[in-house]
Amino acid sequence: MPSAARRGVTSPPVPSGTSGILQEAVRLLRRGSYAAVQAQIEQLRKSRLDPAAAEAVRQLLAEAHFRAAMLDSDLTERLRYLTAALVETPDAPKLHFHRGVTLWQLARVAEVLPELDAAAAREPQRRGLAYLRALARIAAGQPWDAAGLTPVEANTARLVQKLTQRKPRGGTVTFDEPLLGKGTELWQALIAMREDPAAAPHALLKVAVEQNMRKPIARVLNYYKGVAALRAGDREGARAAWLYAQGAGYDTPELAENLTALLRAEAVELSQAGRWQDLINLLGRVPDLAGDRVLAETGGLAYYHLGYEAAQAGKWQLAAQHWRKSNELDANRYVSQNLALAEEALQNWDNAAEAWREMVRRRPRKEDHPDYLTDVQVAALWSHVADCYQHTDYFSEVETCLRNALKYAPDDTALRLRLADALLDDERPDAAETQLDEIIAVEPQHIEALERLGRLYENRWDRDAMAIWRRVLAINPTHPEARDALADGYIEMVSTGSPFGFYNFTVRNPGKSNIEVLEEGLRELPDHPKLLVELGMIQARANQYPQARASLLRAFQVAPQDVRVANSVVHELLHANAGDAVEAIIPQVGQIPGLLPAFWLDQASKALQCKFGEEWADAFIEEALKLADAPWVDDTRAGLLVAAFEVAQRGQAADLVALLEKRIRAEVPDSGAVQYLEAYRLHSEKQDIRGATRLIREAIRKARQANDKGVLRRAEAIEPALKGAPLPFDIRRIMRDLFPEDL
Amino acid sequence: MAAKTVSKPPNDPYAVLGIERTSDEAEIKRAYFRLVREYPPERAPEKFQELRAAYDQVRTVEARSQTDLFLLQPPPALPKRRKLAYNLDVHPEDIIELAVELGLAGLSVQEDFNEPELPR
Repeated sequence: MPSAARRGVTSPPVPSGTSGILQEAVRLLRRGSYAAVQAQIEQLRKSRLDPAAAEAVRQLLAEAHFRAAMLDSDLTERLRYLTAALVETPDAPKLHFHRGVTLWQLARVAEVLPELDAAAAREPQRRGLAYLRALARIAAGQPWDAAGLTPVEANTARLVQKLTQRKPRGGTVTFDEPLLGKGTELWQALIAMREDPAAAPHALLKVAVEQNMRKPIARVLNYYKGVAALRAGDREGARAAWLYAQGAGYDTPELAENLTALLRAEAVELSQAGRWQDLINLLGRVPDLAGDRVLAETGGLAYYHLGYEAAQAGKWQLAAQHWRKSNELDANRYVSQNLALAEEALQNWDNAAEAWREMVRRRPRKEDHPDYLTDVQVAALWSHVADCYQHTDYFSEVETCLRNALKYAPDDTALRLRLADALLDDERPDAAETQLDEIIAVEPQHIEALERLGRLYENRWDRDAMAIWRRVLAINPTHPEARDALADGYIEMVSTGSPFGFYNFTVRNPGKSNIEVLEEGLRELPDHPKLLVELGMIQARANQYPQARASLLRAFQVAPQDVRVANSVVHELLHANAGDAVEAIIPQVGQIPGLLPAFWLDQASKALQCKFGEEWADAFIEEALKLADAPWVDDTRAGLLVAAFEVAQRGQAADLVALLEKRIRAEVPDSGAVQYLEAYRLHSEKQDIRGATRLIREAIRKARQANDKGVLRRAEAIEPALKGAPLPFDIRRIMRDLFPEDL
Repeated sequence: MAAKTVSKPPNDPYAVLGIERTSDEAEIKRAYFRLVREYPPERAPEKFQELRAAYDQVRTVEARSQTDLFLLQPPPALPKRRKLAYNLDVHPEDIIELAVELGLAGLSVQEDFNEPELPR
């Protein structure tokens, strides 16, 4: 490694030998580098030194410690330095003297006198020592004499003794002048205050403080200035003086107690006057409010009131802010409750849930407590927390809270049903089933639980949903959902195409024909229209036309207003060669409230599809047109004719197509329907998309002119399709081909 | 940030019936029947429904205990606090401290800064 010199760096000459090191230490001492002095000396201590050098080392080290002590404002550190110095030179009187003073400043009064005595034993004439020893004796209640004291010191010590006696002997305390310090105002003030607990010598203290503004005694004088102010009822003056004293280092239990008492008195008065905001402002000056339980509770109450006022005014955001602070200062279940309600009002559901949970956590556990919550209440709270979480994405919390609620209300079936529903929403059927089973175990006739279980079982090949529906019907024989679901169960048994149908048919009903199964169903659910329709269909396919006719007409008879039943009955009667029956029921079907033209157009479409003849389609179309003016129908005659035209086209019913085209031209020539069907033809027969588009636009224009919303809606639906790829004209047919199940 | 939707405060059945939270069962009953006479169902069906719903929420101790859980709670009464006494005495420790500080004010620490003599 290159030396410092070779690197071109100048450094101070390194002292060599004991003498050099000592001289360097002295140089450092003069510069005030006391830590460096110690480092130098420690170097020397590692080697053997002659007695003179060893003594010099001790002296130097003690002096370094002493000076460091005197420059340190931290009294504890100062004491540590002085103690270290005394280790090196135990007999040094100045060290004992200053250690005594420091102990005094640290209020370790009992240790002061021995130190000062030690100093006096070695240096009795030390300036100020006799005076301080006299004070130490007075403080310790020991006799003292004025030997060695100056007259000023003796006068002061005598006055101090009079003032520190436990009880004034009576009469006015007198003193001889001169006394230490500027003027005698401070002593006069203290005498007055000592003799009369009500005395408030402002003027004297004011002068005393002004005379000693920058001196250490200013902190004590300011404290008494505060005492005098409060004696005179001047709280602000007291607070200002005490805070000044505190800032200047005056730190006594009395000051802390008085400041606290002052604050509490003001806080109580403000709270009694309902001046909550002023109270908050006052408490804002307290650095550690949480550290004073009474003030924290008072602050919590103030925020509680402010929050309540804000809530009454509908200012929920502000109310929540106040209650959050109240909760921080003095948490209790009522604040948590209000906070939770405010958060709910703000739709902060996570926060609301957390506030409710806080309320549950903070509830008293002893039953004799006035705020004790019963198990029913705790369950209600947990259930409510679950409500809050249901507004959030925390689905798992919903389950957790409901399970918590059930711990307190295990037999609450409504609660358990909510849990089952939550589990079903979370697609956990097995867990939901467990809960539903528990509900039914407690309450075997719980219909809602049975309903859910039935629906759950319908999706399970290894469960018997029909048995559940039978239980529901045993409780309520007219339960519509159960009757329908049970009927569906029978229908599924005869439907080998359904997921469980084949299983049901082969395993549960071996040896029974479809008709026998459905007849059994009808014995259980007499005249159920779904079963009658299904039976009629199967009988028709089995060429049992009279039986089919009877079943279907019975279905219509028992459910004459049911559109689905009517839909099946009308069509299936045609399969059963019962056209006359269809003709007979058409007027009744037409009376079904709210029946739409689409019902009849669908019948027409199916009639054509099943090759029952164009005349049936024509008849059904005519029924559809009768509904054109019904108030619940949002279509027009022209629109229905266009729709019928499409049905006929799809069913390849040439005569019907021609007939409808003729009717359109004759009956609704200006509605846009003519252009619509021409577009249809152009597209489907010549694949002329451009021409078809032009005509559709013309149809739209005409329909708008004629205010024919039926044609307009259909034409506008087609136009976008024509703009794109050369799609077949009938967009509905395309959709049906692509998504047959959706349509 | 968009302003949050603010819901209405929860319906307070006590306010609907015009009673205090501390009212006992008899007071609640009296208030309800007085209001029902004022708003009979045939003349004021909506108000009657409101009164009936409020009454159902507070008519029994059990119902009240559930209802109160989800109502804004008014601030509690002021706790009785003893005023802390001030300590306005003159303390001997302070007199001693004053006297000590006055004594120390006449001293100079610098006088005690001595440079040790080094061996020759």
